[in-house]
Amino acid sequence: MNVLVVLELDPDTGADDDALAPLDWVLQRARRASDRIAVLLVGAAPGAPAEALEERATRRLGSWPGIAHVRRLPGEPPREILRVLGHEPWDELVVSGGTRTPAGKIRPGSLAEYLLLNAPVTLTLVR
Amino acid sequence: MSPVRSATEILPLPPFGLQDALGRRVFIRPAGEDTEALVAFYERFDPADRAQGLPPTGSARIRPWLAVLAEGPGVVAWHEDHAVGHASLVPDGRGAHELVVFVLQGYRGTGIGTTLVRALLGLGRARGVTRAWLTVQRWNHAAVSVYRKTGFERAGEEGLEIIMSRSL
Ligand SMILES: CC(C)(COP(=O)(O)OP(=O)(O)OC[C@H]1O[C@@H](n2cnc3c(N)ncnc32)[C@H](O)[C@@H]1OP(=O)(O)O)[C@@H](O)C(=O)NCCC(=O)NCCS
Repeated sequence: MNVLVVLELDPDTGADDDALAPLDWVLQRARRASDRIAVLLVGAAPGAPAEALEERATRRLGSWPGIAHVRRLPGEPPREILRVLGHEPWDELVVSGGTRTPAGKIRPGSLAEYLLLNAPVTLTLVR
Repeated sequence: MSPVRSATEILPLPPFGLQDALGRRVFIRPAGEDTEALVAFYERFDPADRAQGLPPTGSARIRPWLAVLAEGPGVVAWHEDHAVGHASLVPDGRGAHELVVFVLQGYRGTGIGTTLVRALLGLGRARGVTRAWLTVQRWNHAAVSVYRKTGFERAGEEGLEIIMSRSL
């Protein structure tokens, strides 16, 4: 399985555990060494928070037996992600499913919503 | 029912009784010591009818969620010994309250949802709530109809959802 994980850096909360939730979810699933995981970091201007997120994601992938890599995606996230999806045969796209209202209603983030409508592969929202 | 008066609108103040469109006698009361009845109500809720991830499924998730809802005013619709509807105003930490409302399948379309929201707005106003808002999916026509009838206006939209709000 080729899994593409998108981690979106929120300027308010930075590289906290929530930012890494989609990757943690993929790593906690039944492990299959044949899986290939690519992590795209989006929404991060170059700087300390982006570096922290990249470092934490790389560290989490340290013990992954399959092929894995992390890279920062510059430019406009939605279009760039679709471009990456178009380049290779991905089986699944995993992104953060956005936030919840005070009463607990799910609010898909704008990126998740865009991908829900436009991505040509199975999309998993993790929250 | 004892109404709360404003310059423009009279909102009912629970507790009060009503007859739904099928002639059932339903009572609307402020939420309080009825957590177990509400857990049972949400356990009976068909998961297929969940809206925007609510209500949560299973009592282990329902209980902590009800504790969050209980931070603000709430109203429960009772038919015989069962809770058949529930609405709540949850403080949003910014001086306003988010509204949610749920009615059990067999009781929908008979006016209970609309009456619950009106009663909740009356109770909320009496308890000092000044603004209520909510998000609803565009295709949830029953909910949008209830919110329009109870004075909510479209305040914006985000993707697949409409944001509505009103002052009390
Ligand atoms: C939304 C909900 C609370 C409404 O409760 P209710 O008791 O059915 O509400 P009422 O009977 O007072 O009013 C329903 C209105 O929607 C209309 N309606 C019902 N089903 C409808 C449908 N499928 N399409 C269009 N309108 C519909 C009714 O005609 C009525 O409008 P009217 O009085 O102008 O005719 C209830 O349907 C529910 O619990 N839904 C599932 C959870 C949910 O979506 N909650 C809202 C988001 S938190």
